[in-house]
Amino acid sequence: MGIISDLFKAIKGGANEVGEAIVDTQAIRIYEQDIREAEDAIRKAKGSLTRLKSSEIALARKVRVIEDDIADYEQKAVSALDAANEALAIEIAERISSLEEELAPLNEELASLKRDVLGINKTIKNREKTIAKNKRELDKVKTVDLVQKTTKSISNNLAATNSTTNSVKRSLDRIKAKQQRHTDEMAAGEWLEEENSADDLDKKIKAAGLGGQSAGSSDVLARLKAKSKAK
Amino acid sequence: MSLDLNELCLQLNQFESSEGNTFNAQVNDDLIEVTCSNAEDFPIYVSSSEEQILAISHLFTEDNIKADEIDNLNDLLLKLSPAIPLSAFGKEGKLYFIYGAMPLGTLFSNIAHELEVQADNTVEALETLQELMV
Repeated sequence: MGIISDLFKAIKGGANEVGEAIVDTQAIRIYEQDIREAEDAIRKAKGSLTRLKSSEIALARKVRVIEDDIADYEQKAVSALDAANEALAIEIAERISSLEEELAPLNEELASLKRDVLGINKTIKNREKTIAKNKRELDKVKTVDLVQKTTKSISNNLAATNSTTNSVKRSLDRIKAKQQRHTDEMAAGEWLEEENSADDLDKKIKAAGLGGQSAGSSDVLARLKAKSKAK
Repeated sequence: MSLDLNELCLQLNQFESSEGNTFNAQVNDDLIEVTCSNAEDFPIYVSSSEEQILAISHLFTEDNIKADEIDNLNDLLLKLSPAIPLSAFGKEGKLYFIYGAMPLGTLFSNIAHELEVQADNTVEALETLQELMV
């Protein structure tokens, strides 16, 4: 079970008033210290691992040189036998035997080093996984701590401003009125834009000589004269 | 590493969103108290740990809710949570709040966007839940 379960128990146990610590800050510090120490131990282990690995590489190189020498001498011994030089072949065989004696403990040492390197590597990886998990758990605890500190500030602020249901409703009304004003202003802006574009269109029609011409003073005078004659 | 509250405060006060909203932010102790022009009466409190930035807006206290509606409210908040973008509901003591969390390295433009959305969500949540209030 992780931190969530512990927090659940703490909340269920009644530690749920604002500002009441669900999270023990001392426990956080101990947890952080544990993580720091584990990280330090891993750093040291990685240092040892590097030294072991470099010993393994150097030893493997030494083994390879001896193995190459043995292979080379074997080839030469076969050649000596082919040339019926038994004495030389025996001498070479003795050298091979001596090299094999030298090689055996080195191979054992190399196998043991490889096991150590693998083992330390595995331990480091496992510890790193554990540390990563602990860090995630610690972050959950810290988040709860942060939420508590923040809500405590909010509560203090609320107490200072005497926030009530009515004040929430008044604020919402103010926001709605502001939004309405904004919507109205937008609508007014759009109306004005449409009006301007309609004026522009009328001007264009007139300039093109289309549509009804307005009556000029000469037209009015002609109309009045016609009226006068008719009397 | 933690968030530079003064720097964030400065950036917020100079910012205007594509919606035309602006922020009014000030640092109080370890928090930024910030209001967005779309919800001036409902401040958002921004704080940070070494890992994340937390933005909390107060909604109401249990005392603001009709006594026989508390269970209904809790049920409603759990059901509403997935539908509200970038925010979730929380409760600490008797205080109900809406909050958003961001990783510490979040770009300023994304922080500003999240705060703007949270301010919107706060107003929307309060409008919706008003009928359960005393």
